[in-house]
Amino acid sequence: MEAPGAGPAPGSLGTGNVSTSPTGVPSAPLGSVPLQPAACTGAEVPAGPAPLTRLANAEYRNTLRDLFPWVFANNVNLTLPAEIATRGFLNMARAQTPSAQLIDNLNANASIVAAAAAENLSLLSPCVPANASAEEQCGKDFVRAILAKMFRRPLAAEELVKYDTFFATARTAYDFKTAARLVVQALLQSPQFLYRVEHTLGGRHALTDFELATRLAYLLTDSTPDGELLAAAQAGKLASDPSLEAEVRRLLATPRAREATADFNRQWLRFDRMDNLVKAKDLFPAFTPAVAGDLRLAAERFVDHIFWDEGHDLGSLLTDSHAYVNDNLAPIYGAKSPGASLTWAQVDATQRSGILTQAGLMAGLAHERNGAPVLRGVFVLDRLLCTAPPPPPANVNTALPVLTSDAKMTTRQQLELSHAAPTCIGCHSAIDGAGFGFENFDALGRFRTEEFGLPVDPSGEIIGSTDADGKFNGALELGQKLAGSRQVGSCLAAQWLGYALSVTRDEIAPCQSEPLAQKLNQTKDLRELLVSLATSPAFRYVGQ
Amino acid sequence: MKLPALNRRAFLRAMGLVSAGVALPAPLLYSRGGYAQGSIPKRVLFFHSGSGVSRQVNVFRAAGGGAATETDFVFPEVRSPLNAIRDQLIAFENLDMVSVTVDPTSASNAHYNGDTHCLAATNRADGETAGGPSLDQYIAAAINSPMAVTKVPSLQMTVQTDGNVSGIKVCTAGSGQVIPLSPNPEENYNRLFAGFTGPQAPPAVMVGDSPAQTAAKQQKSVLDLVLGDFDAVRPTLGKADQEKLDAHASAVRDLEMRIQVGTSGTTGAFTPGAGCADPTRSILNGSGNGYPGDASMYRANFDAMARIVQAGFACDLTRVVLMNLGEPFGSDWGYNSGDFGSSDAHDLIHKTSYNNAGTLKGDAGAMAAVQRLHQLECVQFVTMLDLLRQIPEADGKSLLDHTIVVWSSQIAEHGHDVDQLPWILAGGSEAGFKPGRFLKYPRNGGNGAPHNNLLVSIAQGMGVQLEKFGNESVCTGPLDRLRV
Repeated sequence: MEAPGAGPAPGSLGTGNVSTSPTGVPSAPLGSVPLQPAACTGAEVPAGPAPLTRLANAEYRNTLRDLFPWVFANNVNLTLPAEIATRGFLNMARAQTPSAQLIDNLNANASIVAAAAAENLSLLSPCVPANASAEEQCGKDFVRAILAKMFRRPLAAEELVKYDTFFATARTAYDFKTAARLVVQALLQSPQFLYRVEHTLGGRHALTDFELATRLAYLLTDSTPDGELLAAAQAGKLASDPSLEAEVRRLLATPRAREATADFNRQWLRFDRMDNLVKAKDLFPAFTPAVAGDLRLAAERFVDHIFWDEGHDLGSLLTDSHAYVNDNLAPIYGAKSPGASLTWAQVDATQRSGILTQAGLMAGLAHERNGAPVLRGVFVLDRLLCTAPPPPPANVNTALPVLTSDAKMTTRQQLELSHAAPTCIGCHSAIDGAGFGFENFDALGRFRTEEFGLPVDPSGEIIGSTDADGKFNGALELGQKLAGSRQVGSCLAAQWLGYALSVTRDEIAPCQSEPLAQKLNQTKDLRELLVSLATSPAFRYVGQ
Repeated sequence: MKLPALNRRAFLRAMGLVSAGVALPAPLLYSRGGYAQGSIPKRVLFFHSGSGVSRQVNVFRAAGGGAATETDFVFPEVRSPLNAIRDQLIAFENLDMVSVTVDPTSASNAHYNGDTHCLAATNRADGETAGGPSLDQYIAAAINSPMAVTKVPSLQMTVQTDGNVSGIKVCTAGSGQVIPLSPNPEENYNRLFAGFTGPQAPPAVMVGDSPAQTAAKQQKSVLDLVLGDFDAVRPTLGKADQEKLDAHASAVRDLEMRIQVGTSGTTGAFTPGAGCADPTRSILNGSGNGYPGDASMYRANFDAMARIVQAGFACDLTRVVLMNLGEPFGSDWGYNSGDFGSSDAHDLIHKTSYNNAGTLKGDAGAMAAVQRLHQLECVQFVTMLDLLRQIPEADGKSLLDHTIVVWSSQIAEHGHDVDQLPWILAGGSEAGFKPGRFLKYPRNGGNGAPHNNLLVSIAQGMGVQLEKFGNESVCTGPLDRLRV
């Protein structure tokens, strides 16, 4: 053994993904480089990017819950490292790092879940051997059943031999239950389980039915394929357009689909900004953790309600004048409280415009004392128009000027003053142009017409879009403008498709996402967008 | 069992409420006799904080006034708690993140500018991600290759009360490969001490397998099967996917080795001595993550993590730790939102920048507030060093003497600058670092000494053989005069 502290030979680093140059300085591995979007030249839509993708944390947890429901009937404490967001999304293949902590966590989780799963053999295995002579066959039946479920596909002969042998060897050392537990413990750490393994080598070709079933399941239900979906794959139904569409619609009608779309919407709409809200006590004495929790929950439920219960219409998402209100939120909306529980209610239609002005989002895109026009403007440009501006130069001091009681300037006026510099105004004309449209909303998302005793100016201008450019006054007009913009539809389609393929929207080619966008822009139907996506060539084909 | 409230006392001391010379209570150690065997390993702790120090107040002087020299220097008031242990520290002037200045990819915000370079020191993979491994991960990989030497190759923790770590990208396994920091003391305690049986001489006679040995055998057979699945999948994939899968398989192989290194939790390469003890779950009292969190939870998290570092190193369960210092609560340094017209602590810190946009740099009250914050961070640093110094090693030196501690930061100055880093080194006297010095470097062509060079020296102090780290075009080798 090499002495501790002795240097590694070049290329021998233990944790992988660090390749070394001759001088021992690590260089970038291929897998970390963002993909270029496919060229849109031929008549066919190019296959979508298909990097090897590990189950996201939510997918992993849901999968375990659905495979071993009897284990999760009790409280099971699974640990995973946090996920690092890339452009706001947590499931990007390129960001998935097999840190020692992840490997340790997966190993510990496998031990916990396998032990609990094996405690109820009759649920884990299709058979429970009544006597010694039944054990061999039952062991094989168990291996076939559990592998098919956990690998989400038919099994190769050599896989069966390998796992049969493992089971038989384990059985000679331990009892049947222990051998079954060890099989599950291994499967829970197998790449065939943890990754969505697809055969992507070669020219453009369709995914196999089982690969497609797995993609559909994780996109539409955030979990492993259910029995019906696997049966549809087995029957070859996913290869034909009508029966594929029927299967997509079936999955969209399951309760899991609500969770899955909520998961995307939270990331798309940066609901993480509403985590851990802190507001200045002197300005917002009624603000409590309970209020913060309701602000976020109400915004999530608003999007969920539009998506599932209220026409699933992109326009409504941006312009609807309802909100979920309760005792905590009614004062913020200036509405009458319907009681302690969040209730769908009309709020002032002259003030509120869809998700844009949900109090939670406005409070999230704000600081402790002031609204944050820059954050709000970047939100519109980045999440809705896909025209994120470049970052400020590194050495710019981004602090606002100091407010004093006699400053006699609104937040907007101060920003206009500090962004007037030539190095700032280039980008800030677009950022602030969108962000100033929210000047009617304070750091808690309350509507206001004055700040520091001065009238606020909510006029703005969209700059740099393909079809939404122009002046507007206030969030209502901004909402109308965005609702009428085809670019918003294109932007959403590209983000959904990127999310579905675990890549950023920059890695999606326009010819891959535009057909979805066109349909969305015709129908404005957010749910139909998912049907278009799940049946699109970019989603169903891989290879180059 | 109640642990001494170490940190609270230290906080009070920072506020001048307790005099500096008072000894801290001794840690609770269970003497297990002197089993220390093998050569004493080096450890490295990256004590990392977000904000730098406003340049106008971060000026070193000689004790009697005048210009500081290598051996005659005093920390400025803003870092006054460090003066009591000045003879154990190395301070720098003109240490720059030169690698930032040649990076062709601009950072997607001013904080990622330093975050992506402070420990990786090479061109970014993209606007918010480093383009190579951070030094802690590089060292952990190197010293655990070809054989795992510790139960856990490295810990990466962050002291904060909320669980939101998605924006912290300082720790990377390789280009674009961010490793999230863990905000939860209990998770980290469990990683090191679950199943820990303490350093023991091996029993003379083995009769059958202990439950732990049986579990380890089962683990090995399970992981062998898993690794077989990796081998089976690999040929079906393209090159980039193979690399991703290989990294995962490699980490599983590491785990298999780590499980085999011994059920006592130690590797056999080095058996720790009397300083090693399970700090017990009682160190977790009051710690955790939750919203809204409060100052007491923050302090409990710091205390618990500091104890985990101390015991983890003492028991040789890991040799590499990155510990990020989240911002302490304003109530611990006398700050409230709105003070001096600032919106929050982040806003206050930026406004006290020495540069033109630092609108509060002339405000005595605001400067005093951020001084209290920095002094508090210094006390946290001193507390951490005290814990390491309290652990005896078999050679009569302390754990601190065998631990290289570097206080790194994401930015140098309150206005996001990354030149003239206020970094500090401590400990590591047995790794060739000679403390009690102030090292001033010349500026060449506008640049000071590249921080890449400091990273090289740290790696070399850990016994890792390399001449350059990060961007080779700015790295010129180990930092001049640092190691002796």
